[in-house]
Amino acid sequence: MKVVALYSIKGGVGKTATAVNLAYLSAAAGQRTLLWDLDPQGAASFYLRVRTAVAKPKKLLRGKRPLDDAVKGSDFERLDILPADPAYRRMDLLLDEAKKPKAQLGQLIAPVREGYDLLILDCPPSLTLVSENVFRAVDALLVPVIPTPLSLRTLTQLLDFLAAEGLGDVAVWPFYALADRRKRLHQGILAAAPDPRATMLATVIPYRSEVEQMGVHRAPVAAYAPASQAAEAYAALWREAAGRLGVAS
Amino acid sequence: MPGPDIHEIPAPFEPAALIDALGPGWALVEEPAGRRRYEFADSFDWRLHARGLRLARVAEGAKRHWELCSRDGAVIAAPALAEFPIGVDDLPPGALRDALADLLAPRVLLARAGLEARVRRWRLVDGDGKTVLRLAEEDGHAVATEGTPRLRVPLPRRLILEPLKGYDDSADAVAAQLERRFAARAVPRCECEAVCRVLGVAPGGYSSKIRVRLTPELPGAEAARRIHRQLLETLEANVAGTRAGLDPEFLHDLRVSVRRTRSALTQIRDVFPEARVRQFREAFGWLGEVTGPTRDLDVFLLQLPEYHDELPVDLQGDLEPFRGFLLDEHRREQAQLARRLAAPRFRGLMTEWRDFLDAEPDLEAAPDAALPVGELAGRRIWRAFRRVIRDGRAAVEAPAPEVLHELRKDCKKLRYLQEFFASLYPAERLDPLIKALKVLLDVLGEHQDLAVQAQHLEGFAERMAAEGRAPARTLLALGALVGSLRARQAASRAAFAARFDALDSEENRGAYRALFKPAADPAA
Repeated sequence: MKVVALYSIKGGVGKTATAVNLAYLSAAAGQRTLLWDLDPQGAASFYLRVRTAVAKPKKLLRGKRPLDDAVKGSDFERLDILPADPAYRRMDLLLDEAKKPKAQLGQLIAPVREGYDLLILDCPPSLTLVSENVFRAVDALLVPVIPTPLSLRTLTQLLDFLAAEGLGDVAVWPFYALADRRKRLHQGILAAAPDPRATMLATVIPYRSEVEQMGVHRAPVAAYAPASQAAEAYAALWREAAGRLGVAS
Repeated sequence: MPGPDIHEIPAPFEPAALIDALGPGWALVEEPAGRRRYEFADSFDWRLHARGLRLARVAEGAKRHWELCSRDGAVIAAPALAEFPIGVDDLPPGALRDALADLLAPRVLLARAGLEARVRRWRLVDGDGKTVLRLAEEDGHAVATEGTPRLRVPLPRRLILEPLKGYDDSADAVAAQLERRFAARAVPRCECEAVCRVLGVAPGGYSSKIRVRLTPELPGAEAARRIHRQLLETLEANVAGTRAGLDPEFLHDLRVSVRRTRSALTQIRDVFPEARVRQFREAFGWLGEVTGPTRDLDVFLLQLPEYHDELPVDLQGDLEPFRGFLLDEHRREQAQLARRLAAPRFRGLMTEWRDFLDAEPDLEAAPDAALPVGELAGRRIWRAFRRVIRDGRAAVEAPAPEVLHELRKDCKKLRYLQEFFASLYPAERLDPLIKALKVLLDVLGEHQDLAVQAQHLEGFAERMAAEGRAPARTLLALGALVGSLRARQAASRAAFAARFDALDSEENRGAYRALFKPAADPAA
């Protein structure tokens, strides 16, 4: 099983929409896919019509209850979801109680490795113990970056942090999201070279209203607007990421 | 993966009636209907069935996948690409292949029975618009995989509930309603058994083992006839697969039947007219001979990976020309064998032999034809055993290769006799004797196989050289193999004495004496 995380220090950059769409595309390509909604806001769960409540979430995070018990089937073949729970707001504290606090997430997912080909983690924004767990559990971090100086700065912060923590070899794959070519600021940044320490994915996810519609349809874009620009962009992003991961696209 | 819940339903499924029964807040969304085809696969000798496994290739539209169900209900799914017959290497790498590889090889999977159904489908959706259960109604026929026209038998209508992970409650609720209001009946997940039953296919129906039921008072000629008839059935069952070259086990089982038949003709002696015995012995001798070359090549092809590993790493690649040579030879020999098994000489032998076995035995035609088989069997086994002991003791003194070869033949005759007449003796007394003999036979068999392989390898090397197909390094590799085969042969010769001593133990001899020695026989 490969593990990727949609991660950014900054909020509102399109992590959840990307996580849900990539999970859908992965399952459609034949991979048994699990999406773990780690964000207590539970947007990914909402998009897939799964209630944000996990029975005994603390036991789950302490490893006293198998992860698989909380998994829900989505409406799409081969795509399962581990829904969020409000208790995840205190996830840092719960992980800190573990024997190896920075490796607890990796421990928790070990038993589901057999049952899935790809695990996608949808992470809350921040740089906390949860994030450190994520960094240690993944094959790659997919980092959405809005083409603005502030968003680029958080990418640099992330890379600095990884280097300082001895995690410099974690694969970081940034890509531009919510890009609006009508804005001169976005145009300028899209044309410039990003941080040389990370290999940018070439696909740019545009700012499109179809993506915002996900909350209305409660489904991945490809399920209700398959021919849209946004659906095509996610498909291109998936092909690129799948190619780097070595899984079927 | 949670397994689906399957129900037989007497009438077509009515979605509206189910929604009525479930109450408000639920909806059934109809999905496109289609056709589904299952092909239940197993080896010719039902190896999967014997382990409680069921394998189906499920086709829907252009999509095909494997479903392997184990006895405990676990399911392994994998994409299905290859066409029958399907060998282990044709299966997609992964859990499915891993589960079947050791069990199946070198046999191939064949389609043993089929099911074709029209499928109607629905999604059960809860108040949040979330799908919680998938339903599929199958209305179809069991379809035979052999015979023209293919036998088609209608099957009861089935409703398949596929629960989504984490929503098992909904599946349970629907299942309860189906049973209460729709007279549905839960049935096993894999319908393979039911399909085979209506088609008259018997899973596990083929075995190369001898399973003749005899009673001690049966006249010798009649007992021999029954044994031969079963051997003939096994032989005939393997003809089509051998001709088609589906997998090496068809020819192997065919040849074992031939060997057993020849052995039975000699060992169960004086029950048939002598002239007929001589005639059939010669005819089956011919059959053993003409099936030999293909089998030898099968053995080499199966051995190749082992040979490869046995060689020094730098010579391993040099076996490739040898592999090519074997494959060419095999193609030619197999074609000739297929022709021979279709030709009048072979067909005539089968007919004549069956006619002979089907005719009422003439109890006057041979000295022991009327002798009760209980007596006959003990006498023959006792005699064969004494011969093994006599020749074995000589072989311990001087274990020359040809002496061990002769001893192996003696042991095989004894083993076959024990198998032919097994039903006359209590299994708990006979089985340990067969086991002890098998231990000895294994080492003798290995010794002989290694000798034959070394000899054949030398022959192949000479022919490859003569045909200009042997690079020097390939000859070196073959030479190295012959050397290592001879070394292993010497080792198995050294292991022989200890194994024989176990057979020749006081205890073992006592057991044979008690079970087989005829009362009137003065010899001890």
